Amino acid sequence: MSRSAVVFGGPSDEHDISILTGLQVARALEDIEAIYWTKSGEWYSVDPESEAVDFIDGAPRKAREMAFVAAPGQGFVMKRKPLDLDAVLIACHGGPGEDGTLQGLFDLAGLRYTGPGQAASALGMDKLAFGAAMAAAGLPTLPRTLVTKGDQEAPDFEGPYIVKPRFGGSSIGIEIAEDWSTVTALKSSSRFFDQGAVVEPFFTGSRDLQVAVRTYPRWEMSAVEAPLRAEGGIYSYDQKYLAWGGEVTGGRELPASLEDSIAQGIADLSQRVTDVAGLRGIARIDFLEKGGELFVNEVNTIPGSMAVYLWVDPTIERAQLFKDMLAEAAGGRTRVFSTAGSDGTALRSAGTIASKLG
Amino acid sequence: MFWLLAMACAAVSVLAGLRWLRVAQREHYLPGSASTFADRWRRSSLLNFVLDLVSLFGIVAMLILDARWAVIVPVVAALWPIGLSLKGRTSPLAWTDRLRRLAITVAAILISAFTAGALLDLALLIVVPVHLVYVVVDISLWVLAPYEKRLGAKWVEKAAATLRSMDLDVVAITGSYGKTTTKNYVAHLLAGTKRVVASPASFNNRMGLARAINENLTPGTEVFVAEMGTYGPGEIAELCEWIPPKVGAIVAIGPVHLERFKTLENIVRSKAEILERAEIGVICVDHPLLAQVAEDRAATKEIVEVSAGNRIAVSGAGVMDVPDGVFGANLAVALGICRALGVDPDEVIARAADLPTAEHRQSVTTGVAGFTIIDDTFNSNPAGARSALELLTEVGAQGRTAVITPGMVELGPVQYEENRAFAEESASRVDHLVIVGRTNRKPLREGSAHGKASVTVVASRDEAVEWARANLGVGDAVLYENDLPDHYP
Repeated sequence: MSRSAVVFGGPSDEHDISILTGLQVARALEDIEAIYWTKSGEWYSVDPESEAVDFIDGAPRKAREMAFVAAPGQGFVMKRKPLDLDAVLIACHGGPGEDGTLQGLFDLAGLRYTGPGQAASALGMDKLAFGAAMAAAGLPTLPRTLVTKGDQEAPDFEGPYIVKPRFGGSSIGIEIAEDWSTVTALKSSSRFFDQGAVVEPFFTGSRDLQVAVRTYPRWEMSAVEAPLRAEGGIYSYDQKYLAWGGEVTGGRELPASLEDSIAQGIADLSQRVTDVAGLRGIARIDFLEKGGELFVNEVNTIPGSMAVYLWVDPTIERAQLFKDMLAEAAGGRTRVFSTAGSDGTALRSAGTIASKLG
Repeated sequence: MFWLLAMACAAVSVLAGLRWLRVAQREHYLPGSASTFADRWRRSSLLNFVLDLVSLFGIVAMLILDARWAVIVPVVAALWPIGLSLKGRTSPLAWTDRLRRLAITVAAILISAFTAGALLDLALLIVVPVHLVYVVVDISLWVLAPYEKRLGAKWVEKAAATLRSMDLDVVAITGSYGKTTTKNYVAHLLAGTKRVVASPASFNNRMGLARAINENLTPGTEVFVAEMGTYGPGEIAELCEWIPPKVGAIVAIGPVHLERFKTLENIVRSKAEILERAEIGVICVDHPLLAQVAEDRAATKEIVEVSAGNRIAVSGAGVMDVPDGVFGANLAVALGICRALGVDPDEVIARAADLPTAEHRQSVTTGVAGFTIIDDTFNSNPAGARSALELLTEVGAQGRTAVITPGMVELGPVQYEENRAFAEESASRVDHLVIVGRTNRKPLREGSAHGKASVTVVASRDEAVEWARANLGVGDAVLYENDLPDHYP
């Protein structure tokens, strides 16, 4: 009998947070296969009733090892038998579970999964490319520049700067720099920047606004959340930002009280971002607002706890949110391969390889 | 009558068997551990000693007086030893595959003995295995040991291959105590500059490290910090064969597991195996025996000497004060390891401001009743106990102070004296001493006999907690020094 699965964990800085999201999904849904992806990249089938502490040292005691075969009709294989899955809810944050790697793997195995496809996942994880895509589509966004390896002139915006790892969905590794020399010093000392870093202006006097969107059964937007930023600038911003995962642990205003123009602006922009970034399932979009002006900051294609806590207006139960995601996933593949044009004509007329070498 | 006896013995052996299976599991399936603990329990109280004799008398009486005396054996075996519970409070029996294999082996031996006894009409073959169930468990452990090792080899090979395929530096840490804290310090200090993975808390033996590598070693890791424990000579050398360290560190030396090692020199020699294959050694030279090791090796190997007397010193790096709430020697070794890895200690020292605190290792909290609690329940070494006592007198200076302890174990020939000395020092410096359980009751009582502290004896940790709630209040402080799992008397 065909059933659904939830995949969580993975070789990512957000491995632990992903376990929490995954277990929330497993608990909310009945009859679901819970699949744990270890830090080292192995697959285990685990009890959906597992607790977070069971994972402290690795796979829980009674976990059963699985293999993954990237061939049609295969996918997750236990004792040589492929699991018959109608859809997989991907609950991995950061790293290869969110950046398109896992999505590409699932495409090859013909598995249907929640969230955006491989290309959109990769775009959402690449802050440089995402910012550029927004700018190219004419959406308001911050000037964002690559921090290059060698010597580099200061960009044409003023400090203070905020430096972020180029890849990675969370706030881990984010640093605030008062001046440009600090930025250049940071890139060599922090391990979070060895895959590249981007720099953008740090807006004092701005506020963060976050909203979740979903694309099934129809496009919908959650209430807008305003994480409260303590007065006094950089350090407190840093603190808030380093609250791991999506759920801000500090104070927040939900729903945020917004002027009509800003609320409308967020609704319009969210819809545009969904189209341009190719969002699917539930995603969280982060905006910056300063003096009535909105900027698209980042997108999180697999937000912590699937951003279920944002759906207070309208109120949607978490089980419903997860079920809809799975229904959307089961409804169609995100990627269809094509071999049109490869009908053998080129092979027939090619003659021998030896003749090509001559 | 014969069949009745056989059935009673079969039923009781399930009960008694489970009891000793739990002990075996808690003692890492070490052959001989069930008998060692049977002996501990036998000597723990007069009642258990007499009951064991009664059972023995049953066997003798069966042979020379009347066969009916044999009934005593299953009756005693059902209860013995009194105090060793079937279902643990601190550590219940976990039905892992390994335990299942052990249980099946024990059952097979017992059933063979019972069947042979029944066929040969020999009651001795039925009552003796019941009287000595723990020996049957030990025999099973011994029989299974080679098989278990081979079974583990698969995982070890896989882990070794993973390590070889990855371009990373291994840091191996050993020592009688402070390994886990040091490991956590290293991981924390390096986390800003390197991709670090540390082996989980108690995964410090062959199978644990294999599992840590197979499940937790993320591709792209630059430094793997492995904690290596040892129960005997050659063990660390074997670990280093398939987990070859770039840096080998020795944190501290003390009389832990002395009953297995016999002498402190043997312990030092076993720990020093960590240096054999390492490119660089990091040694805390505060103990004279370790200073000697550092001196001996300096000619053939790069050694980073560290010290944490009054201040932390790392050879070639500098000196700093010990931050509050930090274990100096552990931080010193951690900084030495950073240096050995080519990371400037000055660069990472800023991260020392928020080092992770180790749970149950001198962690200070305030309980609901308002008194301060120092939780040192993971500790079982004399040096740590003394420093915890020091901490208690500091934080409890304003009110009354109490030490609650079952004493320290695995100290071999010095266990009696170390516990006596700790009780003596405690009794002279605090107001109350609460002795938990029977394991070290005698030396603790003796040591505290002439001190100023009131002495209370309780049977279990739970009773001790009750005592603290009833007798301490706001402004007072209590030190929980060590906790023994409940398979100890």
